[in-house]
Amino acid sequence: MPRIDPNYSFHLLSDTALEIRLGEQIDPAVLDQVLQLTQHFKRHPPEGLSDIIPSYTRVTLRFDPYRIGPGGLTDLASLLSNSLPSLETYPPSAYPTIHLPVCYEGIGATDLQLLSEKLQLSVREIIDLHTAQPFRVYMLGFLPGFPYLGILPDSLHVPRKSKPEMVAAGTVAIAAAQTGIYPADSPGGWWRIGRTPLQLFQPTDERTTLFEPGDQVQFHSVDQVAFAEIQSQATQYSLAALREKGGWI
Amino acid sequence: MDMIEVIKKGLLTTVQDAGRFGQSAPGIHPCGAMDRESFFLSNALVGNDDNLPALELHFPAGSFLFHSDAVIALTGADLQPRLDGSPVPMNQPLFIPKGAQLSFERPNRGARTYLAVAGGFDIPLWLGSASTDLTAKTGGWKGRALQTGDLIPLHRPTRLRAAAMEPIYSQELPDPAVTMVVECLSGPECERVGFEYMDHMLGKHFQVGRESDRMGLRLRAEDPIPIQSDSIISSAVLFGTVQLLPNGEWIVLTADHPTTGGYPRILQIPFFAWGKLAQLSTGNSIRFQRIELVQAMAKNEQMIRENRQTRDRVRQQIQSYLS
Repeated sequence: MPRIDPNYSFHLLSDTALEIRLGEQIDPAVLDQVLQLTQHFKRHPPEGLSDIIPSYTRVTLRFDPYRIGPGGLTDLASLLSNSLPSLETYPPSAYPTIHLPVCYEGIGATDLQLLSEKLQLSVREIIDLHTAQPFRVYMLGFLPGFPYLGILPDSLHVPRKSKPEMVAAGTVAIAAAQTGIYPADSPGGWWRIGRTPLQLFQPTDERTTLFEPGDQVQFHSVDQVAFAEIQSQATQYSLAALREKGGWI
Repeated sequence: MDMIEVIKKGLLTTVQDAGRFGQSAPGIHPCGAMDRESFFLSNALVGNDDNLPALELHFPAGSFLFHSDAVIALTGADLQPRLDGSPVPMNQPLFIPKGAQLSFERPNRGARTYLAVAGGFDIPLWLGSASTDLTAKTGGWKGRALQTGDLIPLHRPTRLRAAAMEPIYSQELPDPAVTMVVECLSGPECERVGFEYMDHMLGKHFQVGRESDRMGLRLRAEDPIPIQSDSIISSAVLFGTVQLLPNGEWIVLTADHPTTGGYPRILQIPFFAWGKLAQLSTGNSIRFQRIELVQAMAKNEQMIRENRQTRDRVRQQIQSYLS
């Protein structure tokens, strides 16, 4: 495939998908480009497009094989690569900050003590580092509504566990440069440091997921009493209403 | 109301259609029928549009009681269907009188059977699809597999009659005694893992592991070459993406796959071969055969065209005997 823009390249991922590569590292500048290209394809969907999958450094276009014209994806790929926008076409939009309460004790904080020994940081220090600044949502994936957030400070970097364990819904966890939140009970290999009382995924809700790629998420430490209170009150808010009010402060 | 009752639940019976698309950005899994061409055929054989919800059955498939007259069709895996104890054919429209019971004797070939009913099952859509999402616990029938005692409502068809059809296409089903050839394309992380490793491994036979499910098939090589494999920055995965797990095992993702993954994507099974994957069960043996992307695209086009023509012909036959 020809390279159209010095900033990105275009590849046939398979017989049914195209992949646009924007970088090779987790980087907020790359995230902005991923979000811009995602916007572009939402506004100008190519013939037969079934899904746009934005991820850390890639935008993947999945096509419906039943709707790809004769000539397959090859023709479409050359057509598309000749009409791709330069990245300046869609300036980055303003991304909302969403405040998220997290209880860093009791259920959910299962690995915090172990992590403290592993990272040679006190539990307090880990919590302070995790709540010191907002992190950005780089992508959603793995489970419906699971946000991949970053970039964690180096002192919190820890390789993922060798064996996945059961993780409860709402658990906030970390691995490498990332932090994430499990929207549902699931096996997972990240280190569990806390739990949020807010729901991240609600199939019956109009918007189904709380977060969108690009969002800024600010964690706030709350105790177990506050956790229970927020949990009982938050159910009356739709995900859209929670976003509207900037999460829960 | 017209309905069928689950008298005895099966291993995993779910409502599926062609899948849920356009929802990958929030991380919602595509789901849908594992063997899409067999699913489409089941609908065509009862005169439905291609994408009406049908049941996907695995052995043991349980048994069903019909609370009203119905016309059904069974496609995909041959689980030796019985109507009130007597054998009934696969890949044909079948008239089922009220009160009759459908059961399945034993798996002959293949892993997944589709049961479509004339008029279709009456299932609400979630995000545009009737497919069951077992991960999100929503969609399909109450977001779960069918249980004993469930009463699944049917749309009443305009007219009911079944007549024998001329031979039609069916999915290639694995013979347990023979190694099935599965065509593959190189994956984006093939190079990173190393061509020497890939060439070695592609010469081997793989067995489908017990932990396989609708999310993916675990593949175990006879004597795998040890490999040090790192994770990659998470990016999109597809139906048919083969991932290399840290323990050296391979997994080929199928219908319920997550939208993204962090393991190297070493191979990609092209679209026309997805139905083969769908019909593999534990213990089946496969080997891979590399093909070129242009070849894959040509085979996709050919398969889609031929199967569509067959379904159109089936619908014409149905129209002619109903009028």
